[in-house]
Amino acid sequence: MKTKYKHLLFVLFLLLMLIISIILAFSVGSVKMNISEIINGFTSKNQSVEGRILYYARLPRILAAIIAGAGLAVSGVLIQTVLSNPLASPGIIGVNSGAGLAVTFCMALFPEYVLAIPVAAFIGAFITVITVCSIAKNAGASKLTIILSGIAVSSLLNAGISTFATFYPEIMSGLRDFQNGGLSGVTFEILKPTGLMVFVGIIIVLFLSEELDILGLGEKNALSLGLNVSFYRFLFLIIAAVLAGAAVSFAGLIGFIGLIVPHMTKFLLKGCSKRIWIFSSVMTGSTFLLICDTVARTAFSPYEIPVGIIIAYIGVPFFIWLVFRERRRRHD
Amino acid sequence: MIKIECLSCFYGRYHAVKNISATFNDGEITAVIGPNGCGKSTLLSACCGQIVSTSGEILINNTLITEMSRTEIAQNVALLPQFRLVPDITVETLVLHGRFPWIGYPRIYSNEDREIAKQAMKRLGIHEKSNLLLSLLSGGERQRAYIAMLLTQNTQNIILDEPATYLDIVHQLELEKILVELKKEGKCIVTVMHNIGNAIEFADKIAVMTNGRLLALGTPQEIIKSNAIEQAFNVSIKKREQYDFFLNTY
Repeated sequence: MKTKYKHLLFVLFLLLMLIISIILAFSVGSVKMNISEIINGFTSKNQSVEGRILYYARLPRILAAIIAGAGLAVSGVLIQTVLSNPLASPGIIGVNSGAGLAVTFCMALFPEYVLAIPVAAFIGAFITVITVCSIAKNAGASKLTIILSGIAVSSLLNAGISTFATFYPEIMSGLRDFQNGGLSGVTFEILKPTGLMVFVGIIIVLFLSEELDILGLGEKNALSLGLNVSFYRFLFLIIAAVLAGAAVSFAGLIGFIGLIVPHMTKFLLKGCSKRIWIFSSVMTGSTFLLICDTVARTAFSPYEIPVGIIIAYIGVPFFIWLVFRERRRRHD
Repeated sequence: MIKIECLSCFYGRYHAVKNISATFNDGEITAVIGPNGCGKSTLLSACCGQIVSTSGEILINNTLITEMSRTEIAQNVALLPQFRLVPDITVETLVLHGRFPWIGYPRIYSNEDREIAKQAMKRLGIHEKSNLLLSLLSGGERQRAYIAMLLTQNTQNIILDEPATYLDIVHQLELEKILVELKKEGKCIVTVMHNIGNAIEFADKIAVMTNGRLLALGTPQEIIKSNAIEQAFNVSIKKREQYDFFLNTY
């Protein structure tokens, strides 16, 4: 079968997985529901208890998982391509911590302005991207330098977050959840602007996926093919900051998805174009975070585990399995 | 045609290319030779607008490079760089990227673009591997895939920075044959070569560089007579009775 059709089939499979995980996330929890109850809950005119649970508790959380998963995954794809570095991700190069510091700043000083949080997260993420890239560029711009600069800047920003927590102890409880990453308490109010930011960001990236593909050939080849490399690098880094900032503003410091999902998708869709890689990463990121969040809120009910812990428990073994499968395949 | 007038390029304070004037004509193969680090790659990068010169002028097909957009430059000059990444894409996708300067938004390749890419892959003998990932190819096959991308770009001027790297002798000869065919089609070809014997035998013109300067530019016979190779490399050139040219280090 032609590779293109294989990829298309796999994208359809990912879409099916996302739909199944959405249905699963709606149906499990303290109140279990089957598909007809879910449909009734949404469609009945007099909203029942189930309807309210679905609409006010589960729907925002499901949307949050989809938005954050998609945003972080695509942000990872962009950062890895632009920096030609498979080890780069929003978490590792400090973008999440930059957004985190800005969010902490807002939580401490302007707790009443909820809508300022995504904007602050974007500004924090963007300033961090520019800082890390400038340090790496002036220090030689090797793959290792970018990672080291990111780790160093991340540590500094995390120290800033802890400093805020020391001087504003009232944000401590919220800050702990924020640092672990989680989707509880997410509201439509914050999801509307962040969802829009992620949606527009992904559409722009899909539209410019050919430019991203060319950028992936390396600077010299990209220039030879007529691409304005500096402009597109800058643009893609801005979009990566918007996507990661939007996700971090309500989901906290979930760092692993931006690193692992692009690789997972790449392993599963060997040799695909960037357009398919981005589209698949959207679905893989959303499905993965949604499954992890569903496990986080139901596995030890009534207690809830931070989703970051579940991501590590599910994601790391799966990623190691993929790496070994890939190695076996190469040896065969 | 690429015309360079009094070109100088710097990396910070390092003067990489010093006041070079040269013309690379259509229908000719010009081999650029010189010791490592003498500025060959910098000169070629400047010729396709990748390095901004600090002084001097570059004309591509009689138009100043500074007056051309990046896309216009890419439609007129193609560069095969010395170092290339191995992206996680198939041979076909890579070769098709050569059509990028020719497609507008929404950046969708037409059947004609695909046909041009297919012909280029056939010409380089890699069409049977078109669905394979670049990472699964040998160094030589990967090199041929990149050269196929260059042909797909279909430019009047073709610049190659050490194109024979990784190629075995059969494919080196095959590459030379392709370059000669392109020359006969009237293309201007400039290539960095390390095998001086090959350059003397194969190129129409030779540019000898050392320390960022152009020592000489002329036909192989003129270059041999000028002693520029001896000056640049500190070697002597003698003609063999039976064979071609060979080098003797002092």
